[in-house]
Amino acid sequence: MKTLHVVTAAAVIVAALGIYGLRAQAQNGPASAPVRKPAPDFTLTDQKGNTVKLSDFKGKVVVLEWTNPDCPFVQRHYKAGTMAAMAKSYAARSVVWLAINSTYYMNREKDAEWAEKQQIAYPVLGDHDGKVGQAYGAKTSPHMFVIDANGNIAYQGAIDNDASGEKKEGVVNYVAQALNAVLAGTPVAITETKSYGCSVKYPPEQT
Amino acid sequence: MRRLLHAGLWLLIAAAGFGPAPTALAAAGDEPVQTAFFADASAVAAGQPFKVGVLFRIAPEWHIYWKYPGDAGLATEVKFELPKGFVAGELQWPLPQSFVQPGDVAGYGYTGEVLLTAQITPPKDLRVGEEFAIRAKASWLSCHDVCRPGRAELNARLAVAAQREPANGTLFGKWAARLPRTEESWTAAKHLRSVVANADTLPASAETKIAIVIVWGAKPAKVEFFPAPTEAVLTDKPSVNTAEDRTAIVMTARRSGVGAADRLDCLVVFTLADGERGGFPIQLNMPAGEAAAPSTP
Repeated sequence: MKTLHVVTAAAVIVAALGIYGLRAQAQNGPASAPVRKPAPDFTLTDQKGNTVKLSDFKGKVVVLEWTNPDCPFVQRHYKAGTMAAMAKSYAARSVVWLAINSTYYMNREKDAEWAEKQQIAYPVLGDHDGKVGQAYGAKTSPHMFVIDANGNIAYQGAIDNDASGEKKEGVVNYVAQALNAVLAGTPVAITETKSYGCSVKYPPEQT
Repeated sequence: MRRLLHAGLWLLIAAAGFGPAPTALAAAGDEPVQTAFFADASAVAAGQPFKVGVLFRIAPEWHIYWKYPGDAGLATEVKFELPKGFVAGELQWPLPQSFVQPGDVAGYGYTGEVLLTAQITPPKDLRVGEEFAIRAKASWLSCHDVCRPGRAELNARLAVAAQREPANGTLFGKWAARLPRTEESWTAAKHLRSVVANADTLPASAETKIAIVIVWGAKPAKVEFFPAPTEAVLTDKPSVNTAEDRTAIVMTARRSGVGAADRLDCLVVFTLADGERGGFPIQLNMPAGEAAAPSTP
């Protein structure tokens, strides 16, 4: 494979965008909610029927965890206690942990049943029409977002660097890194990674 | 279980229409993916390369993933355990398909069946009459409405002869024809006239627009673009627009801050009017820039 020549960036971009630009823009899919920008606000109902509004937590650091009880990646992390342990340890530092289930074929009863079985102490928010998931560009379960005390997204992506769950050493928990930095008031080194997991099961009619 | 296994084996041979039985077959029952291990030789000669491949047979409506799975999913993996002195080449990935999952979640992978192959070079000091074993460890994620992880360990025993004795030629030939080829080979075949890309340095923290313009020898019926970034690069969904004899591909990319981003591998796949598909890799250089600027909380 020969290496492509780097031609003047401007020339190619002008050619590509100039001729096809409008259609190109129209066909671009929604990207994940951008880091360093305000997190989209939402109001959802948790597994107990309580209304939860993101903006009510202004001044606090919030973690959003896209989840799906049917997904083996989620099941692996719940079996390992990843989310529960983090939620508990960071709750001691006033971090709010919210799980969001955008699986179209589930409902509040299913969320409640799962939360009880897993003994989940944090809210599991039902987003079964996928609107909040789409606003955030949540692609996978799990897909994690860390929101700082000012309401801006400080991190989005994978929980860690171990997609297959088989790393014996060198596992880096990106969410913990981001939380530690945000809580310490220091810059977040890794603000974005590619999330891994099952695709979020959005309603088929939305495509 | 035993009967199922036999039924699966028989079906596999009957459906694929190749001679010798697979050297190993794993997984049966309600697992959506069945695997079998093949070599393109029944006996190999010292120092002469041969191919091995894991055939994945995927239940209707299910899929497994390409080396880069897209927005979700997990890359299929095949690792070989070889005797001392044997060397395996890179895993070869046939042209993937793209699935658009609800909510605009892109997936790249395979349905039906796929053979993932690698070339094995045996040492020069093998003796005729010897036998050796090769083990393939395969793991995958198959998805339909739900996803299921699967794995298999497959073993093959091969003999050493004075001359290589070919086997499974139809199977290996069929899947070799579905591998990407070089840009030059498509140019020589008059399918392609030129490929021009702007692969400039990814600037710190901001997004970069990557633009590629392809001029075809003849307008293809369909053009697809598959980015295969490492963990160091994040890409958004590419837009692919074909008009007359040219295709413009525009995609945004940015550094993730994990690992070093020095290149971005991509694959262009075109489909001709008769349904025939071809593909070629594009390697975009990303000269080392500054690491992504840390955000201030």
